[in-house]
Amino acid sequence: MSHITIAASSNAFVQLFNKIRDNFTFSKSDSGSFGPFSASYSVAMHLEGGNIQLNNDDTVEVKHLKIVWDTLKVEVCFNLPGFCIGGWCIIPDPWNGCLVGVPKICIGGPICVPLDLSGLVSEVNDLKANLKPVYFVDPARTAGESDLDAEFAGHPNKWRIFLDPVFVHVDPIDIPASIANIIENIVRDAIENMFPVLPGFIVDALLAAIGPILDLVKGLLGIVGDINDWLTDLLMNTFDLLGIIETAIADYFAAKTPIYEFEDPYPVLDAGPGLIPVKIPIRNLASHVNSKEMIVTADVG
Amino acid sequence: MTTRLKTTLDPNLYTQIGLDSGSLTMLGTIVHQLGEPGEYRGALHHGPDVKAVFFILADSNSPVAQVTVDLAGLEKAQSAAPASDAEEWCGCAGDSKDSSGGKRYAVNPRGYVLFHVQGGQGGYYVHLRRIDAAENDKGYDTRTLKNGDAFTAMILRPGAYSIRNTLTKAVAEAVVRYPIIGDKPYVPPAPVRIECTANGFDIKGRLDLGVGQGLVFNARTDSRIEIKLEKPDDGPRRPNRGRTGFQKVQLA
Amino acid sequence: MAFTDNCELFASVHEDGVNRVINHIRRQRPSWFNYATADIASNRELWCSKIDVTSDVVKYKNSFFTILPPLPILGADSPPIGIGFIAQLTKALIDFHPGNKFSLPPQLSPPLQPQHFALDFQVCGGLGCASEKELEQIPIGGTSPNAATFEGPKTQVVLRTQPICFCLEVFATGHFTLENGFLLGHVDGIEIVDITPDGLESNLECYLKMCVTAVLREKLAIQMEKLTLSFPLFDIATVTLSPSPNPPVPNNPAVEEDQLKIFIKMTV
Repeated sequence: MSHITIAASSNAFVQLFNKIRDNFTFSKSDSGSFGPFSASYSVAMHLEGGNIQLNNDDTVEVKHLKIVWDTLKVEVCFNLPGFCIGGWCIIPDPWNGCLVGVPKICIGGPICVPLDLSGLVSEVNDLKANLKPVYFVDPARTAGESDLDAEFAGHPNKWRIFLDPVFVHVDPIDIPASIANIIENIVRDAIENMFPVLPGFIVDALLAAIGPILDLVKGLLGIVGDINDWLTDLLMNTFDLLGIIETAIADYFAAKTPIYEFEDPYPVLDAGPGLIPVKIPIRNLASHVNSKEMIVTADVG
Repeated sequence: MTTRLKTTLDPNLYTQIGLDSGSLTMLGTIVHQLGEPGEYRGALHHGPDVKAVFFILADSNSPVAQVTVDLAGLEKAQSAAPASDAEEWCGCAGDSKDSSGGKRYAVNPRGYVLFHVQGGQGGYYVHLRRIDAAENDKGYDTRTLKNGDAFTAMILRPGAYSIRNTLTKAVAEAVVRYPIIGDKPYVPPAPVRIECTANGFDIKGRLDLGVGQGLVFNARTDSRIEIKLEKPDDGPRRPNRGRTGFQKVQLA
Repeated sequence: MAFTDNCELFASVHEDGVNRVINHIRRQRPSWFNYATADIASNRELWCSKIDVTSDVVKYKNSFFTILPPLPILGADSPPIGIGFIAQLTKALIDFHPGNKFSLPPQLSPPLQPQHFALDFQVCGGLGCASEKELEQIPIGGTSPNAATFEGPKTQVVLRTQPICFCLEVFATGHFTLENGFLLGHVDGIEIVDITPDGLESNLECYLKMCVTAVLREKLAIQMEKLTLSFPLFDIATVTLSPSPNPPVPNNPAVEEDQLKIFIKMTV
């Protein structure tokens, strides 16, 4: 029989989970060029909520864990062809098309559409994990140090229990269809604001040449379906944000933030004047869950 | 949220209203056929000043049917660097640099030289003369279009225009319609071709043009074409395009 | 049945684990187990029992003994005379119900009662005994009675002595309570084996009971948090932890199945 047994009910486990969940933050930015357009993003997120279930197969399952996007900014840049004049033939060649042509002049250029989707919420659909005890030897510890020396130097060894994910499934961000109208307005505003003094007839010529803006944008970006679905795909798959987030969450729970941590040897009596602290070695740490509770057992070495 | 559109739009495109074949700007071009083989020296004029010198070799063996001379580029290259450095390769067969200064072009004598202004305010004319021409040969001056020359014009500003050949006193009228934002992208219609003869323009009635639609004036006699805005068309009243400041995008 | 059927946090420690902890404390904090006057503490030849400590105790120069003042010789005041003594706790063993680590003496009404613990410890000690030659150093007629007036209180003279060591086998029974977040041991009965007359035994037993009670209250009252190896629930500001009441938990702490158990409820 183990010398020490500690058990936390499923309710208590939820509190433990919430504590490490609330400490999770993630931010990243990246950019890429994808043929007819380039794009960049900047994201920062934290986690909220989640339904936690302890299972008899020694696993912990978290469902519907919300990902709150504190920052979700995307910028898509593409070349707006705008309005072109010229380019036609002055002196045709009856045998070979055109002998002399007018140089083409295009009114347009690269346009960047910044989209701020901050505040959107998606979710970790399913996270399943085992409890994994890990003995942590502080890399700062030197060979000749005793346990007490290490404690005084601020780098004691530790027992840690991690929530080691078996899998993490993150749902794609559900970008609302209204983003299409926003993009349309942004592009229109961009054209209208090209120059503060640009004459209205040039703007109207541009808009007339462009025609329906969304059709143009979709054509330029090669979007077949809805623009919101395309944007989701860009972020989640092209930039692999889904995979990056899943990895970040798995790494956070599995290796960065233990659900339970204590020093080894464990201090049972504090130091006093002329007295070193009393510390007891903990051995054979094990952790398990069943449907009702988390159980940690250990021996006194 | 800010949106950036780095435009290629040169403001001279919309600030210069009207065209003159004797003073080339961005929206006009002149096409000229050299006809005789030989080396030609070109002088780029802006008013009384010579802004640049260039050379065109009319070589019967050249396969080049069109050489395009950017007058703005010539001036820029000439003023920016010493002559030898200012030369730029024109991409033409027979193009080469030498120490005589000025950019060099080559074209078949039966091919065409196209003068145009890539950017800037323009206002150029060109004087072209064979290097070995007789003293009494005045050469070619773009201010007087010769038989076989073509002058092209494009008009962006909607409104009513007068068209005048100042050498023959011929006149015509044109109207450029205000653009309509529709369900399909607007594409300027095909250019209108006009013969300029001693008897005037071969135009029947008033020309009806779309924004950016081309005009090709084919000179059959000495000509200088001027196009002047008589009455602008500002189209429908536009909403206030002042800054609206920051507005948080609201997602439904 | 789950550990946390009637609580949110459960912790238990087996008597074997507690006995190992006692041994670790004994080796890392020897001054809680060894008491002596300076003259005896400084001379290991005079110790009743060898002291086993960790290397850190030596490295960090912790004292092996709690140093106490000499025991006065009654009747001696000019000058006052004291003698050395030593007391060492050489063995300490705990047994949680059911009792199976050692046998209790009849005076403690074995078997061990449910929800109780038993202690078996050995105390070795001795009073310093001076040689005849040392005793002859005591001034005949004492020092001047007026000296105190002019020189202040007379300095105690400590005789050079050698303790005559003896060992007592002591048994105690007791129970635990949870008070103000601390696990506290209480001594219910104590018995010193084979000592007479009864009056002397009673006096010593009472003294030892007072000693054990004082140590349990002052030094060995253990925080609930320590018993759970600093379980992180204690760090969460929004969570309040307190012992589970009766009902639903009839004994909290419980001493059963050779373990000490505590049941903690959580309020969020």
